[in-house]
Amino acid sequence: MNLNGCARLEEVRHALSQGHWPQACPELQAHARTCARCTEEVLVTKHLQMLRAQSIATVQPGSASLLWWKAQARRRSAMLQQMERPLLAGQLVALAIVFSIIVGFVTLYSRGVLTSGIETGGAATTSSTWSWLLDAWGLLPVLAAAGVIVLLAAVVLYLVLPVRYRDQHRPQNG
Amino acid sequence: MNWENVIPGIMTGAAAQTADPAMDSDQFAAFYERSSRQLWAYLARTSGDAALADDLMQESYVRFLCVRPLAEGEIASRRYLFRIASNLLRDHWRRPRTLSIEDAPVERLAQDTSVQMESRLSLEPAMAALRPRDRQLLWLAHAENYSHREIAEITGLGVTSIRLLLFRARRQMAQALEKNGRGTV
Repeated sequence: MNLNGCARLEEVRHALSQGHWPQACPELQAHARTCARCTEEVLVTKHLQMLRAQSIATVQPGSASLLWWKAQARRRSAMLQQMERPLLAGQLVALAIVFSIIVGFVTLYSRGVLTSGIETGGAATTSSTWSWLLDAWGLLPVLAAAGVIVLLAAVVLYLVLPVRYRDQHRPQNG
Repeated sequence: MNWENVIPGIMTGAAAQTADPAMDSDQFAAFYERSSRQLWAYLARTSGDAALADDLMQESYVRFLCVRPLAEGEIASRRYLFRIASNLLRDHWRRPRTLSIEDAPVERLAQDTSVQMESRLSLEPAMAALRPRDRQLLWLAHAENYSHREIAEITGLGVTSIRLLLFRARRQMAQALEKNGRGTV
């Protein structure tokens, strides 16, 4: 199997690629008829170039502007997704904080109830539990909860208010 | 401070338009006009499906616009476009067929319009005898006149493999053409 082909292959290729083949010099054509490698090259190239010309002549490509705007929309969507990632992470962190506070609250509440129940001989009250919590943690849970609410409210404002502002001030383009 | 000043144009799409200052819609339209017919011919003749070629051509241009401006020059851009199209074709061929012709219900086959059937059967005999990858390689080498190095860039194959594959595919196609009575030099 000779992959390198014929010494005159480049000449044949050049004539074919330049569209000179049928008018190529008779000596080169005579060579191509006797050389198996050049014959293959000529047959395949002529045939594929004919198919290419047929296809190019018949096809009616669609609108370039439609593709342009489709690509813009896709890029915009990708950018928005990229922007939403840190926001999502922030929401997840806030959710984790809220969850851990609730778990801590419930754990301490049950301990408080148990301890005060033992101390008072089973007559635990809400007020005694609440005072126990204040003694143990002070105002920390209340402040943390308030902080989380403020954080989430800020995120909501950040997302919602500019959109409304934009919608109100957007020029009407048809 | 307005949030839109911090992240300019994120909601209006202005950022998308200013991301590639080297390219605008007019430039793209000119590039599309010069390259779309060749790309469609490549997709249609290697897949044998005109409708598929339409879809893949659109997707190729959209992906092209999403990742690359025209700043690198027309030839490199065109080569990159063919690379995207080749990858899409390969993905299409790799995708498992969910329904074989034997399993398809008769009423579904009857619903096929003549245009759809024609679209699927447009692969001409000498090309149909070849494997899809061989059709791609032959088209790129002989119809588009790409060098082996350029074909390697487009298809992701090695230059040595391309040389060998092209040698076999060319021989197979030449034999098919001779058999079909198109063997005149």
